[in-house]
Amino acid sequence: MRHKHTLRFFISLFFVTAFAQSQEEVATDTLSKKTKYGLRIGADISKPLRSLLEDDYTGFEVVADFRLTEKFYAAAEVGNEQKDFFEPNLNATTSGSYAKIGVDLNAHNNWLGLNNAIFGGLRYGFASFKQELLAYSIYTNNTIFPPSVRIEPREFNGLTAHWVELVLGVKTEVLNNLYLSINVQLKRKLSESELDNFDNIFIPGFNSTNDFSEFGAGYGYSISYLIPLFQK
Amino acid sequence: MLKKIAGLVAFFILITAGCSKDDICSQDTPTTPLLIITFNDINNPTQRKTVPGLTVRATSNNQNIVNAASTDSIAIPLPTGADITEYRFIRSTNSEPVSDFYTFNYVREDVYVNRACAFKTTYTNLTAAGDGTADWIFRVEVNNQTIEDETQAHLTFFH
Repeated sequence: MRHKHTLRFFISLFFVTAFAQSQEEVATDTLSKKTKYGLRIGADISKPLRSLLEDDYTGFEVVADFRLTEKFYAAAEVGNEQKDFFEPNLNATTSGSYAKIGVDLNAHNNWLGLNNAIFGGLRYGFASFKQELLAYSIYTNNTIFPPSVRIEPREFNGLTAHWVELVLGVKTEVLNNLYLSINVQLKRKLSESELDNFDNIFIPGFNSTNDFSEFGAGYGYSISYLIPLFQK
Repeated sequence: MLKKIAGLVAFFILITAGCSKDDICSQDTPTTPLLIITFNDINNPTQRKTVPGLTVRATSNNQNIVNAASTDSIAIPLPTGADITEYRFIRSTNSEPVSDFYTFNYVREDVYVNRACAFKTTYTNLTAAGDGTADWIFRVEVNNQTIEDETQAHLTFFH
């Protein structure tokens, strides 16, 4: 249910973005050929929102990009996340920080005066985190003996993980210099700390790991402000 | 164009926010192994010998694992919460049933499987001790002291 509400919110926000964009198209008409260059700084608003809506998640992310050329942007994200994994047979919690750095390529040809983007990007991601195994049960097919639940907390500190990710998204200038951006991320793990008799259930920035593959996925919805530095 | 791509993005989010597939522990995943016991002929120790009407009962709760089956091998669970367990092995032929008690001792270890199955227990240093009566099981042999999988017999009873 909670997921459903979260989604509904994002979808509505998305439409707001889309409409705001179309109004812009009508409004702007005659402008100079120069486009703005600068530092765009913002925050992912989906993460604080999830923190409010979901009991098992807390997180925030700061996003920034800097326009290098007509189409290329240097981009980075820095964040912190905590995620609980409370399933009937396994209780664990993960917390830590991450940083992602890379480039975005804007594939969208803007009309004069517009600064929207349909972009693809590449990131290198790095996380430093810790994980706690709080309790677990023993999986067995027998029904003769009583099930065993062990509450023996173990803490795994100083964990790291590296990954690369592909980002696809859109950016829309909703007000002068104010941007809304929505993106999806496909990630592939390069390496991670090995745990003694346990596994990394979640990696901050990477999201849930998978028992059977090195891939992960994520999304972002950010609001950012462009500090214009010069025009070209 | 912009909206089309944005629609795709929204669709992708819908998919990724859904349920994940590794929430259920697959039956194919090896979890806590069972103790495999084979029954061999006391007069011809390399030959399997079927036990007629075999019943195996856990002494701690009087529950039957095997119920009046004619078989030459069985797989029985060991508790994941105790280092010792006793079973009663009952053979019922046409005459009166005869039974022998066997106590199994072992050292337990919890091993992580995956997030759906969580942990399993494996056993080492397995020993088996009879009640000394040898009503129908005359001898026991531990083939494998470590119970990590179910690929071969850990114990052989000779009768």
